[in-house]
Amino acid sequence: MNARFALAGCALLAFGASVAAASPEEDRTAFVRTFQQRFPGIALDDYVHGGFMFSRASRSHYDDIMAFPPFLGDIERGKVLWDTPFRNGRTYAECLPDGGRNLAGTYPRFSAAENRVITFEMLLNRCRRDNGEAEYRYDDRATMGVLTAYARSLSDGMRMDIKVDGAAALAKYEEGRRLFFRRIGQMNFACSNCHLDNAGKVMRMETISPAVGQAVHFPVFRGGDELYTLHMRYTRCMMQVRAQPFPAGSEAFNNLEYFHSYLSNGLPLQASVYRR
Amino acid sequence: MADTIKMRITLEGDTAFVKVLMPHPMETGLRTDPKTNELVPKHFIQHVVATHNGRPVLDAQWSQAVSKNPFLEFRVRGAKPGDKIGVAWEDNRGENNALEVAIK
Amino acid sequence: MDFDVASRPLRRRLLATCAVALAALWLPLRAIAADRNTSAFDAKAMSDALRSIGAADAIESDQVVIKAPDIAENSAIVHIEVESKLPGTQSIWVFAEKNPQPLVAQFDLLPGIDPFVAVRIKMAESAFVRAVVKADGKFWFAQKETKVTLGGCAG
Ligand code: HEC
Repeated sequence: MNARFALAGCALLAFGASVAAASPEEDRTAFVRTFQQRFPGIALDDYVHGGFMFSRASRSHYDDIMAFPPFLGDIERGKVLWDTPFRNGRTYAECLPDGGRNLAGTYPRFSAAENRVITFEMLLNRCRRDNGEAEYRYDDRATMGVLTAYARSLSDGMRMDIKVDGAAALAKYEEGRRLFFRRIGQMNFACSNCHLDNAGKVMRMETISPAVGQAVHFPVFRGGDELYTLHMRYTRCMMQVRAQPFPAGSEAFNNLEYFHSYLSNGLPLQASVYRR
Repeated sequence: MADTIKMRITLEGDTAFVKVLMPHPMETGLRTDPKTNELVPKHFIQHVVATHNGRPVLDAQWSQAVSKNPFLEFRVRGAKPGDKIGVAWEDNRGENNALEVAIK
Repeated sequence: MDFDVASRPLRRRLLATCAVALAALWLPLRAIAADRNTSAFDAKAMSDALRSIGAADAIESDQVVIKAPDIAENSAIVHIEVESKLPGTQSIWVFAEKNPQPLVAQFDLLPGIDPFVAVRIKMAESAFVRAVVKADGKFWFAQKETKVTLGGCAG
């Protein structure tokens, strides 16, 4: 598998790879401009559909599956976790502003007090910790996976609204950005080589999604069945280029998610969708 | 089976559009369990019946190649609010499950 | 996504929709079960499966409408719809031609149902998906080629 993958990889073009270091907003507009010039006629909101946005046939199959998706049971399990009070009687909804609604699109956030990036999943774990419960592992599908699949759906439709204010926040953003553009692994690929330079190209029958729109629709259910959080997907892509992946919930991935999410500012959230 | 059958019904005129999900692993018998390295035995829904007010309208036989957590859509004619749509399945191990829902 | 119905706690949902889970519902139903055509389901070749259901001479018809994706991103979930416009439609079969056992599903239609079904199937590889319809005792079919992109490198 990997030999064939490498061949396909070598054939990928590398062009326009250098979006020069800039402010987050300049980054975002440069990404969006690059994609919109390359894919005229595709509305920005459609970028939430990732690789499916390029083909009417794929989109329509996606819609057929989403009309009654096979993973509803997982989302229900997430709702049960969400609704079940902690042992002290409190709930996630009480722990979060506005019952956790229209919140996921404002995460990750930079915490100046802690000088670190806080993701939405960390926020859920902090509710647990503050109420005397053990934190969930970030790569555990049966707990954090289904919980976030439900919790994020409470923000469906809101527009991504990530803020990078001040030098300390910018430093974390820059760290995430560097990881995105850094060539890694035995195959020597950066995220940007695929999800910026070669977005829209078909690699072994799979259309590579653009980086814009990737952070608004997680978790995904691959094959309609297998739950992947955003960090689990990062891990997967790093393994595919034979890099030693960072663990889900690591600071490296939190910073990557901060940068990566900013790119989707203005796009509508839609959690828990079908992916190949 | 931890999950129940899920059913969504929309009434357009006197036709009930019924969508059903039946949580089930639908094992083909060809899959290797990554943990034990052994083949997972075939385990699949092989018979499904749909009813309208208790009267069967659809009788289906399936193979193991229906997708996991099977989806089924059918359309019942002559339906009105309050009517009951039922779905029942049985798998190759004799396990079964059923759900009946009133049209709103 | 609309989780309204699906995500409410089960008990409340049942009350709200007056739904009654009746495992017992199954028992009276199985009595009416048509016998399973095991030779058709076990057949490894498309031609044998067709012969087993009596459809060896089925004729292609534009009155049988099959909807299947041009490309299914994942072979584990391929959404198929079949509609028959033939009067007197009695049964619909769905085949994936290159599956180890091509016959995937048989639907016997009883009075009160539209000649339409949708189902999601697994496909072993890119192949024709074929819908066979029995109407007024005769067999007709329609088919559609679906490419599946198997668990790829990007995986
Ligand atoms: C060799 C090419 C390649 C590299 C390098 C790569 N990816 Fe991917 N990535 C893919 C392919 C192919 C897919 C699956 C198709 C798709 O959805 O884009 C994918 C999927 C994704 C998805 C899911 C998109 C969706 O809509 O479900 C995310 C998020 C992602 N990659 C992020 C990254 C990040 C972050 C990096 C760097 C750590 C990275 N990828 C590196 C090829 C690559």
